[in-house]
Amino acid sequence: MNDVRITQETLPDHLAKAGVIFDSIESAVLRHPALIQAHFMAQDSALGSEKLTSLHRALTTGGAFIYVPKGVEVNLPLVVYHWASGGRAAVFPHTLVVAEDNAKVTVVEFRQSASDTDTTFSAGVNDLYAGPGAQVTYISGQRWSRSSLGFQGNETVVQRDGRVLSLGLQLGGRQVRTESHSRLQGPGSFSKMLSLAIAHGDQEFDQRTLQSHQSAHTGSDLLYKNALFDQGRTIFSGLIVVDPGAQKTDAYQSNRNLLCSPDAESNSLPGLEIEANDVRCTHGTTNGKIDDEQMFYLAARGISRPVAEELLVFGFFEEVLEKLEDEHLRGVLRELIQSKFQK
Amino acid sequence: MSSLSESTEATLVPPEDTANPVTGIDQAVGDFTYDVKYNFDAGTGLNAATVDYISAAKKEAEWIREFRHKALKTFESMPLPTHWATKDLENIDFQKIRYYLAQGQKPKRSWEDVPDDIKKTFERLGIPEQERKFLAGVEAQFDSEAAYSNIKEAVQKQGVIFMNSTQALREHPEIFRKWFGKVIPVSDNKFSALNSAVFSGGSFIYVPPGIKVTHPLQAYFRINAENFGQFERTLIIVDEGSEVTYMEGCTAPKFTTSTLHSAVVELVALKGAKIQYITVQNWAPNVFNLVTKRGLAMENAEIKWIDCNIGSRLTMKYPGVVLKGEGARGEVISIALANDGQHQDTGAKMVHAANNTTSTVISKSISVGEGRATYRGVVHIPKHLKGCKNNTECDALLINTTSRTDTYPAITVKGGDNYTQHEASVTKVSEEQIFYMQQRGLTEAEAMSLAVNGFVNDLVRQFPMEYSVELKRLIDLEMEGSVG
Repeated sequence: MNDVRITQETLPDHLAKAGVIFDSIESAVLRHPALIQAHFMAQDSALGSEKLTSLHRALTTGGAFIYVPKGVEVNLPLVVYHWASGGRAAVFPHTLVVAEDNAKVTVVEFRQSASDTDTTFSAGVNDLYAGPGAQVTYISGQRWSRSSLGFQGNETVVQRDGRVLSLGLQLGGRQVRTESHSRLQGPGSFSKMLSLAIAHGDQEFDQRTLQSHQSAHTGSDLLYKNALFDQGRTIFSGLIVVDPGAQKTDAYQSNRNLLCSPDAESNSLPGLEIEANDVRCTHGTTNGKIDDEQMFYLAARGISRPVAEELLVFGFFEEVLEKLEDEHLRGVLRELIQSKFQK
Repeated sequence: MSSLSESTEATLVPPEDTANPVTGIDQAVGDFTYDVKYNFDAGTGLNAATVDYISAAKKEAEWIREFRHKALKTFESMPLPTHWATKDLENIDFQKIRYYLAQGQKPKRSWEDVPDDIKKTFERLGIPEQERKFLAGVEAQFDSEAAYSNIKEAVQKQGVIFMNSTQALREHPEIFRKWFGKVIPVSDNKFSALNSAVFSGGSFIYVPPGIKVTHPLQAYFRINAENFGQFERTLIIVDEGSEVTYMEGCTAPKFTTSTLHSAVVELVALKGAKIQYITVQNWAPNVFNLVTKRGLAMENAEIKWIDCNIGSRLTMKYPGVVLKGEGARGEVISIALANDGQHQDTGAKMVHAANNTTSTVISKSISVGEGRATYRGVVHIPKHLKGCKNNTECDALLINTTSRTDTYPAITVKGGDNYTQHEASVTKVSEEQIFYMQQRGLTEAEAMSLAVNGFVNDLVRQFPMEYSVELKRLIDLEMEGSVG
């Protein structure tokens, strides 16, 4: 059953008439070859996993193609689900989102193993393209089984005055690596890169990010928050690159780790490479534990330690969640996060 | 190679008269050279015979000679750092460097006895004057060996040992050998291996328990010869409850060929001891300055590196502290100024190895013209440690459109009872600030200078007064012509 489009709800008429395309990658290759050729894996990924992205390129199966033409706004989120079933299944899903000039779209994607006992290998890539003035919101959550290996590449291109917000929620998998690269190619372009991860047991999340400021007057804001339990391990390695001439860049990069266990380990490597002088670039990283006083306050009110920890993690994550405008989506993500604590 | 007994006369080029600022902070002051004839010259290039020559010239014990040969093999087997370091390292030709140049191995105790040609160099740099003014002891190294070494009698009476390492290896092998190569192993990196093979000169300090050395001890390193490599080896051991401040300054004349300076500095602060190590590096812009510096802090000990990098073509230096005893503190304060053709690749390493250890890193860099400043940092808090704290701040200031800065921190924390915090910012001098000052009658260049001095002011104030005044003046000099 892997790699197969099981079902798809049709787009509302007015969107279809306006030229919005929501199709599987396989079908889009046949129906819209020019668009696919222009945008499918058009960016070189260079954050270390070239081998996996090449494998993905060779074996892409399953996935979605979303195209929003000039000036069209899609007000309700488009949702894509991926399930991988069966032991030792390998999947290579691809999501391609193209928003033309002044278009607006929100895409939500969930990836998970069909059963907790299946071991999945996933090498996925998504391409996000925001044309001039376009607004793209991309939210993804993964809940692979706890024995799975996952790789996800996220290639973002933002043109003049375009805005992209991407949020990744990392819950499942044994070892998961994500690579996110935002390219700010036109003045006024902006990319917000958000991520939340909870590591339990021996889970490892390896996060690589790159904010490439290739034009003047661009902005980016990155916030990666990790909550670590048990022997959980996270690696954050990020870089802001400001090209010569990319003046008036405003870039921020922040990695915050909450270590809730004596055996948890966080690694943080936030980097800057700046070749223009009229810029404001800052980064920060903190590693800390749950505040004893906060824990005491909750305990004094009869709340058990695990529940209190969960509450405090929610408090820690709220800073990221509140950046989403859609209250309904925030609710969906909160439920997903909660499901992780119930196991 | 010249024979060991050969002696030739020195020829002198008369110096021009210049004012003496504090030790070599001003680049122009260090940019002169005298034609000195060396009695000892290991020749150009590096092989086992070079090592034997150095060892024989110093009449070293057999274990040291063996140590050097082993280190040479390690050096030859190690690659240059490639994937992260600048490609400029590949421009060093190890076979075109002279590894040992000296007039003799025994430094003079009084300035009168120092050979004229060398004395003139140090007089011009203001060393004897400073010694009279505010130092407890001075060591002046000229190329491979110390030419002058003196410690004030009162300090010596306290049992403090301050001499060059060549002499210390002969006179105090029992203390030296115990810690030698223990803080920085030979194979730490390619350049620490190189230093271990051909080291010469550097300071050795031992402060006995309960002694607070009130005035700073100073070493001054001077490179005079062209195509030369200086490889000093410094070892400072401060016994329980003692305190010492050590300062080093360095200059070299500017040659068209490249010069290599590759030191290894090891500090040991025993229980409750305090070491403050101040460096003002002002090598000429053709010097590769590739230095390994690390301190070991035992229980409740404190090691503070104050590191100021202004000169050199390429500096790669990351002073570190291994916090080995409970309650130990480590601190690195770093100022880097990168002008045209310069790359200041500096930073800090903090390795926490005991409970309740704290470390602080404050780094400020200024990139002017086409200069490039890089911060690299490591903070390591391993498993099961409790109550460890690190605070890192790096600020970079970019002056011109062609200036460049990079920040690469690496922070590893295991366990839930430790705190780290890292912040970095990159900015330029705000137009409002410049406008405000111009309105009050300052030129744009003056305003820029003032703003830059303000940027590093809180760090500069941590230097001894004599240095901080000069540092400010130097920043003014470096900023000249950078705007407008």
